[in-house]
Amino acid sequence: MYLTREEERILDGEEGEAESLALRVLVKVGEALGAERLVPVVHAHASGISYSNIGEPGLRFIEHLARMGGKVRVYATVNPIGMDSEYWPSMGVDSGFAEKQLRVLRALRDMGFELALTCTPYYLRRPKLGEHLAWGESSAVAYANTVYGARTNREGGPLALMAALVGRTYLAGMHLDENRRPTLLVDASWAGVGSATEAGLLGGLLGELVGEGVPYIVGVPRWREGWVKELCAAAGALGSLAMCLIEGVSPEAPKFRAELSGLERVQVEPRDLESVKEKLSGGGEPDLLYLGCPHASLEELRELARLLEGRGRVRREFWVGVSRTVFLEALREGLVEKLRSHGIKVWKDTCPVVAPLRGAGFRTVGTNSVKTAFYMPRMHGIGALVMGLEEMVEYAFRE
Amino acid sequence: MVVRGPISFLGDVDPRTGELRDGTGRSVAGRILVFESGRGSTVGSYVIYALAENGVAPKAMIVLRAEPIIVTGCVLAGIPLVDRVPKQILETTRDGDLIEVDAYRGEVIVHQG
Repeated sequence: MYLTREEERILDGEEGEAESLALRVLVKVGEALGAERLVPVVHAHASGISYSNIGEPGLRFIEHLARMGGKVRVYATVNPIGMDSEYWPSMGVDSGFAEKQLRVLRALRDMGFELALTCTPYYLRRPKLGEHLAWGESSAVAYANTVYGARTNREGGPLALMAALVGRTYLAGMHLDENRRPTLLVDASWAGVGSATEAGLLGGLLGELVGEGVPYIVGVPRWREGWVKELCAAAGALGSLAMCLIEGVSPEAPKFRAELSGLERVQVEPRDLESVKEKLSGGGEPDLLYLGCPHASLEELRELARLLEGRGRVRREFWVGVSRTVFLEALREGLVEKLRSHGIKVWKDTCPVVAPLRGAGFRTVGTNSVKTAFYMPRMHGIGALVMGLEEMVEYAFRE
Repeated sequence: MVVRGPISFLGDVDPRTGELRDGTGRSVAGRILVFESGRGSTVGSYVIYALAENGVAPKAMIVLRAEPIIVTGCVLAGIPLVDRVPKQILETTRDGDLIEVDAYRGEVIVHQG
């Protein structure tokens, strides 16, 4: 790999031990993926900071980098953790776990990471067209490439962390024009995508269908922000999609319109979405309902509040997950209080995928998130039911 | 050990034991793991690293397509990784076959049976 003089200096340890290690790993990973040089990034986002997921080895790794004096060189944020950093005792998280989790956070803070603790870093800093990023968190990666036309690979958690320390990543994959071209035309005209849940099912289908290509999606007349978010999250969980081109959404989509006739074409039917739903759904009646994977936006909280209008307290556990930024906004708007008055628990900084839920006593999670449904049985041995938000609310009041 | 589909190391593999959560009870510990590709969570790199730290990592990985998550995990964990092998390897190789891997030269030799 070609390195600039500054990068050579970093590699030689003149900018610090942690930076040298980081650059060595970046070069090795980049060479394996065919990169010829590195590229500066404007924002790094590190996934894999939940102690529940990375355990002792991950904690030691992150503390090691901090002890070596690693400092971020660019705007750098981090993913959710295994608990609400403030209200964790009422989540049923034990103090031993909390202590380990807080050690991860201290190490990250010492290195200069902004403790955003969210899988939606795009709500904190909106990426710009053509910008290079080094993001972990598969859902955010797909969202950044698809919605903003920013450029990031699906960086492994530790790699995004190291990219933050040197302000660079390897130039390959989604950073290059040639890998951002459509590889498949997806006609969803008859799929009947009319909710975030259905968009998620379409995403799950594409994740399984497309492998590493870039699907060009046509036929959905109106997209809402939350729908694209669910589509991207599902595609990144069930598959390894880093990007979609969506007509009417993606800034890079129009320039490929003339080439679409030459692409292989797939027509999506309602039964295709139904089969994804059936495959992911297993378990009895939900005893936990969850909204907020990826973390809910203010708009989604308002929608839930509207659905609860005129109703009493929920009869089942109902959790909502948000970033602390959205939490504060929701607090100002009176939304948190409103949801709590219905018996809904609003958590920030965390979500069911990264929290230590195994053994918490839940049998089945009902959720509008295809991604959550994919991970629940695998991570926690908990069943899942994919459903729309209205359906979740109906369940919440059932005897 | 052959897994014919993609693997999300987060979720599909227990980082403490190396056990695959596919209902077969198989463990990747000490095996040469042949699979299609990575998928899913970017936290997978940490799971691969944890497998090595816990002494239950695969001896080597052989994939049709390498992607950043698997590559990062293997680099940190020091696990030899070979990609771009012919697709038939998933069909013709069985659990328990003897495999020789030279990741420096990108060579894989499968001794069937």
